[in-house]
Amino acid sequence: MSVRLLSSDSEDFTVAKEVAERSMLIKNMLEDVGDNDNPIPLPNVTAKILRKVIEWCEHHLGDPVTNDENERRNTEIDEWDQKFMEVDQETLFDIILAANYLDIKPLLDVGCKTVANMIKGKTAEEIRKIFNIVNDLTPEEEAQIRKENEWAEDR
Amino acid sequence: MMTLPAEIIADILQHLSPRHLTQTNLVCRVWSAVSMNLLYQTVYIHTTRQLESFLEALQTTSTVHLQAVRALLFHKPVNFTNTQLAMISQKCPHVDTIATVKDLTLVSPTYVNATLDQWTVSNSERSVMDLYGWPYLKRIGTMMEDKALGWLTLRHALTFLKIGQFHLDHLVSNRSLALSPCFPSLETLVLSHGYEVMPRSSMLWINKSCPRLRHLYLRDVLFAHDIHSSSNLAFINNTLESLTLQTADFLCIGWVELLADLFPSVRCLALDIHFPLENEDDMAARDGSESEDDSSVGMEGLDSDIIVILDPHPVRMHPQVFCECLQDWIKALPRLEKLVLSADCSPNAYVLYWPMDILTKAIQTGSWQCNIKHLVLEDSHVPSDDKRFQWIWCDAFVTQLESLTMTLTGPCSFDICPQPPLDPSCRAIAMASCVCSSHRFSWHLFPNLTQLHLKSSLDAMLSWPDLLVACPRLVSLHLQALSVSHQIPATPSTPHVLKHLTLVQCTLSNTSLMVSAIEHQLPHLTSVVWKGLTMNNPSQDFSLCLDGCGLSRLWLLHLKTDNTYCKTLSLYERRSGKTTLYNSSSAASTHGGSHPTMVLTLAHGDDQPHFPYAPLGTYLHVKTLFVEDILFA
Repeated sequence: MSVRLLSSDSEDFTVAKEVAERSMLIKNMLEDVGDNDNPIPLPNVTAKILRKVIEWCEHHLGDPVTNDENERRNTEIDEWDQKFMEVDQETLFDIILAANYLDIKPLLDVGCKTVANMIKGKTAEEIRKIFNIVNDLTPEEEAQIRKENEWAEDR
Repeated sequence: MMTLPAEIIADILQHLSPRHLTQTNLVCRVWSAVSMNLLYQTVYIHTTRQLESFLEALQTTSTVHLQAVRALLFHKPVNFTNTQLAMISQKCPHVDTIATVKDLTLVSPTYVNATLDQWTVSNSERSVMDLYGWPYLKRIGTMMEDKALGWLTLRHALTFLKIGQFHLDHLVSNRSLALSPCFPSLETLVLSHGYEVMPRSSMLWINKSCPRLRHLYLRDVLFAHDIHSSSNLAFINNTLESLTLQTADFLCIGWVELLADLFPSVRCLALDIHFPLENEDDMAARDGSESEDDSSVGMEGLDSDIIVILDPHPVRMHPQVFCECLQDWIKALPRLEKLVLSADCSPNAYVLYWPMDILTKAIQTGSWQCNIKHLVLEDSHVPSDDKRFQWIWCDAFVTQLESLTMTLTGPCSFDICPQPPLDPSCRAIAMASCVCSSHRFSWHLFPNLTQLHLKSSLDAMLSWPDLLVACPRLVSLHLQALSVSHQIPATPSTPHVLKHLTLVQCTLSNTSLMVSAIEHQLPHLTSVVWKGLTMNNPSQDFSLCLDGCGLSRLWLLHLKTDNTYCKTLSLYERRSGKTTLYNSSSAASTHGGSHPTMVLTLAHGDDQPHFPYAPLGTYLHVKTLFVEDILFA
């Protein structure tokens, strides 16, 4: 049994139903509409990203689903996922956004952990540089934040 | 990054520890708001100074952040004054948890151990503790078991409750609470019964009133002999996972069956055994030896708290009787996976060998099903010259074990058995008889073991290469007060999957070999904790290179080389092309490597910094890639 998915740039993908159902969004849609041959339009996901997402879902098809928040948070990224996430920053963010939109929690976790690992050990200035963020804090706000940080730094 | 919505930024930043959040909240406004919220959600206090600085922050920090505080976690029990409690409750009204935890990574255990997530806050004044200030509080308890608490209004939200017999009796006798379940959300109940007799009706009340109970601890309970009264079980609880009985008289006729009937889903059973003492000297000796050794680095949640010494009304029993009782338990609880046994025994008294022997025999003969995968033995006295220890060599039992924790007292050799016996039927005996042999062994003793925690009160020996071969799947290893020896193995050692290595108060007999084994054999290490380690025979300038590992935690505390404190310990850390040197004398007792008092940053790309000249003693250099959590003294 397969499902057709239509990317935002109108590319048609045919995938196994179990693969597509890793996405809670698609799973719920399929339950609502029942069996029919019409492709499911995914207006927020481009073909390039959808291909990556499908690749991920196919690889993780047999994974057990855990609902334990802490277990999900504490497991480390496995080797395959690390390789999978070795993409440019824009693609990485697009995968995260797609995972969020399609409601694929484990993929969202992997993406977020990958970004978190890029942040670890960096100073605020370094982080701004990596992600191209403009500092919009006033010096007064910064001073206040530093004060509120104190108890957490001193450990 | 600005293209990501705030909710996703929160998803990302939730994976960071407080140390990193203090940087991310300086990035920009959006990041700052998200980071502050996360930083204040769980307040984890390590030191007294940090507590002071947090109490100070309560005065100046904006209320928005303080409203976010959900949990206050302390490394050590804290005794607040009523004024402090009032201030915290006023500033942080949304707190749902106040607890003492030893290690943040242990906050969510599948099985909660007796001491893991204990409520230990109390106030220092002899008045009623006012908890109305925290309308969202989910976990409460009191150290003062006979003091009234203002908590009944909170009871629908409670998930963790620690009370005394005084409170339970009040609840049971309160008729207005009889109609609906009194604690509909309660998951953990800790009951200290003060050696009072518990009637069957109280147990039925607990069962009926806490329909979602997952962990039940009963302490100092004497069960009543009223088992002949009505056997009508109104409600079967299918949610209970762990049952802990401490100094409880569980021999009473009918109670094992009653508890098993009420809670058939129990997967973890913890019992302590109080064997009869032979004379008063033993008691005095035990009392003296028990108080030392505080393992504050503990990776495991269990500690000596389980054993009550010199209690006023100890429940003592003969080991043989206990074993029969244990069999009843295992038969009655078909889903049992974890067994925790702690013994209170003097050096001359019986040992935990007895129950183990019974388990082994039962499995061998197939007389009943035993699915125990996790075994914890506290204070098991092991005689060195004895075949009693043979249970360890029983294949059927050992192969199904996934985690093993043992605290050994008494003289023992922990050499792991070398060779498989020829005839399977005499395997157990053969194994026991060659315990002290030094042959290299060629088969796998613990094929499924992933966690091993050994603690000894005497200097027990353990061979490192043998251990790794015996436990090929070991992920987490905790050794305490053991002598770890290392000879060059006959065959080249293969990489091992070990991730977490903790050595506390151990002696390394050949440090250089050991260090080299860690470097080459353990490519998957993510956390290394060495505390109070004595390192013998290191080479003059020895270094530990952990560049190949993805190390996230490195704690090196009070290391001794050849019995003198290792004064010069230096850490070279490489991150994004920069090499940073942390010096132990300058970074002493600084937790969180980002703020040592003196940091020397070396030039870019300089992979091999020159070791500073140290004229006296042996010094240790640790070279590593980026580490998240560093602590060394």
